[in-house]
Amino acid sequence: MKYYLFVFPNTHSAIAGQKHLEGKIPFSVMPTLREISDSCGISIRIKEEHYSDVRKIFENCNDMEGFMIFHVESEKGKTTAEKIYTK
Amino acid sequence: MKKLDAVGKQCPIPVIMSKQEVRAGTEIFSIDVDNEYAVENLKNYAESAEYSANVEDHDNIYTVTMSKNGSEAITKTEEKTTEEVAAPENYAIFVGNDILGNGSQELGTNLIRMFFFTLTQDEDIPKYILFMNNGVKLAMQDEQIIEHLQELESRGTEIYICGTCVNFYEIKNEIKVGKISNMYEIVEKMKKAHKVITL
Repeated sequence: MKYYLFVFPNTHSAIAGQKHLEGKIPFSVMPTLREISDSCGISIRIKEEHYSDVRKIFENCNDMEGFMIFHVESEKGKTTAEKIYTK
Repeated sequence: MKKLDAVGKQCPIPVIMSKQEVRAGTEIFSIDVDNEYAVENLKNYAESAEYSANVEDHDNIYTVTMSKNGSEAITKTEEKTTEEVAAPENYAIFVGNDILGNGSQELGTNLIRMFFFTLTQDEDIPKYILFMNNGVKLAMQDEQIIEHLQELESRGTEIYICGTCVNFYEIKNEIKVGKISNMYEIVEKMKKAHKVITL
């Protein structure tokens, strides 16, 4: 399974991010992967085909500073996460 | 005969005082309380502990005399205790709010503080206590509850506090008990426990 994960510096940004996507792009929230961070955080997971649209939306929002994007591959219990962008 | 005074003491103190006497092996004692609810709680406790309870009412003070039943009953109680000890179960308590129940905030705060106090009075303590959402405020900011949690932690209870929730509520206090945790760890402990009690 492959997807993009948007990770935020705090929960308020994560919640703001969801509001920007609601009604426009399908997404799901999940706890930030342990491979990325030890502390819990709310991450937004999106399908690969929506990556460009979501990135454009977040980059154009004033309240979306400091987020990171990871490309995640998860198969048979093994997960790898590659950071591909930091704002 | 030993006489206990629980007049003016809030629930569950009268029952806890009686429990301590029973555990100490006191065969007969009396306890004074000032309301009928306390009397009912004491009578219920007496039945479960295989004691008899006689109540005398004078000037709005109820004297409940608790006396141990026959020796057969004592043996039965001891055997039951042994069985319980032989099969301990790890249980978890999940705390998702900073009050107990719905309704009055003030009552709910008192109830949840008394809940944690009551936990410390028993030998059978939870293996895990998990705090999320509003519940994290208790473990991070409520001094009374922090003290009870510290005692439970010193006796082996593991305490986990959701980091996302602490972050969301912008709680800056220094952590005094337990550890900042995450959803994965909290779910793992829920699954590990034989039962999860949700407040």
